Amino acid sequence: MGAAKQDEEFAEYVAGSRPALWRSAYLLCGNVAQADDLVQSALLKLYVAWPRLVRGDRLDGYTRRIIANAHIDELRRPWRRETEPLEGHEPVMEVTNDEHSALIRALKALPVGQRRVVVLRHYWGLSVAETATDLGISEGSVKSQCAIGLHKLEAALASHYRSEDRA
Amino acid sequence: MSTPEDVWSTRLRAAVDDHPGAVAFDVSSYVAAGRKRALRNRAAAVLATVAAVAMVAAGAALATGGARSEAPQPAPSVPSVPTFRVGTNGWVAVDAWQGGGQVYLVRPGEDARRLDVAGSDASTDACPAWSPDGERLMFGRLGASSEPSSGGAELVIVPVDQSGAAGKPTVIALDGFDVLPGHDAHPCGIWAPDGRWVALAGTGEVWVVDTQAGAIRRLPDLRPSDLEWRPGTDELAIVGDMGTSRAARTLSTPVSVYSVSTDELRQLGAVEAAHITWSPDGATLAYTGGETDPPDLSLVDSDGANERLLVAETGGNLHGIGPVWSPTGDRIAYQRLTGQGERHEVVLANVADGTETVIAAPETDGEMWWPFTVSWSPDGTTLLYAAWTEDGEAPGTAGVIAVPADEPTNVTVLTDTIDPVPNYYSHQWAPSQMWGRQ
Repeated sequence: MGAAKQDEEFAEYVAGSRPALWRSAYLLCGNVAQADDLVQSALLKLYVAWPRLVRGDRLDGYTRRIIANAHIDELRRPWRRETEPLEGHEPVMEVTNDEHSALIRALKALPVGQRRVVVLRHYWGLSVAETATDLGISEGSVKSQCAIGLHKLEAALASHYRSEDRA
Repeated sequence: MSTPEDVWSTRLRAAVDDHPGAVAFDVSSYVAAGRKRALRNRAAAVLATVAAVAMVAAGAALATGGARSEAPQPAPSVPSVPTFRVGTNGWVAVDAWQGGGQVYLVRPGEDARRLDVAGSDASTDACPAWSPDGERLMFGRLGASSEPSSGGAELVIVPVDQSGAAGKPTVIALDGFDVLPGHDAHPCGIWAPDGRWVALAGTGEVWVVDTQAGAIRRLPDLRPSDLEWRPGTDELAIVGDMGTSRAARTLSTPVSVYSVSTDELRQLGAVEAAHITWSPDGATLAYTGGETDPPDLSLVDSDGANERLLVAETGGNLHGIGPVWSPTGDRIAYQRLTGQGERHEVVLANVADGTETVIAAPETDGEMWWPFTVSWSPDGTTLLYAAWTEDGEAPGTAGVIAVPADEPTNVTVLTDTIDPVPNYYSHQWAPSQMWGRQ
């Protein structure tokens, strides 16, 4: 595949998938700038791997996984960053809706394993088996971490969603 | 009727689907950045191939070069057991970043226990450091809702007995204390050898605090990447420039030495450094440079004279606290990248001749432990790793392990239930006093 063709296909994929990737990253890290970084880091890796990935059918799974792994990497490399700057890209504001802010904060308070499972299961809509495959953990872990994570979210957000529940 | 799964999906989608960050992007910028990354990777691969070919050629030349002397056989190693009590008070103090910052005490065979100090329920605590006599633990505290610039930063000093019970804390308010943008906001102090003075770094300043009188001296125009008190003296070496934010590169600066008794700051010869460690007798300073300097490990006498190279090309690193001199004086530990992502190995450089011993990632029950920071036990026998784990391709957890320097396979896991890492990135001097002395 020629470089121009590859760039064209990659650009098409980014245009279609980047919003969902960014939302996932934002749910994982709870921070606009970091979500930008995670998506950028993941898409750079994707670009490099593109020639071998694009021929397979695991593109979405691979991209989800590198978002999750980039989030882990970000937690593990606290004092250095290594990214190519995106020209003309300015970070946007954090959410201002109280209810949504509370949910983001509550997600951020979850241990990272529970957070990833909750996002993959309930934002991406993956099955237990798909989530386990994506994260490289057992289905039992997916179920238990998801249950604990949702329980904690319920507890943390009880006051915010009480009116909604009564409706 | 909606299932709980549907409800949470709806809530999660509502929280982010209309977020402007998801749609404000430029596709072409990702393509351009991807091209740069691919080019860089290709260049690195070419360099690696050239290096490998050169090594093979050199090896072939040696093999055909006639008789050569046999390498001396190393003396059989004497098995050692981690000595957690000799020279120590038995405890390692760790800060866990979960929950914003909490201090824990760990020791072999026991679960990590949170340090129970008055006031900690309504605050976040980080950067524990044992006093030189091992009887008091100091840490930095921020009020739960306060910003450091609003006056919420405090140093807390608390006596801790052999059982790990904390006594009545002494709290020193650090009014006006702030940190560089993007860095951990907790004040992280390091004890002077006299157990009275404490140094810490804020935004463009080094603070020197008298913990007995509560007096604070502020040394302006300094953004150090490392601080270290010279053993046996009241002198504080200050080096490096962290830049104005987390995104900046760490640069070397002349080594400044501040004397508490004279209240004067002087320069240590012509040496420039970003990370330092004093020999235990205080006679020699080992140093490395910043990110733009060659990765050499050098030595200089305490008067700034007799600069000499100990190890050339110590390799790159993403983590670590720079070189750390062993309390026995014979070795210096540092970390370097293995070439696989952010994984580091530990290197022990022999001070006498610069020869190196490499300690690969320790393994326990199939899990590899990769160090973020490495420091020495007070008796110099054992290395303390704050580390993350990896089980095959799967990410693991994090924790603290003790690794005997001369028998690194005999690993003791002090804790794998708390993550002791992220508060150290902007206070790289802090882990050097995690292990309590006696």
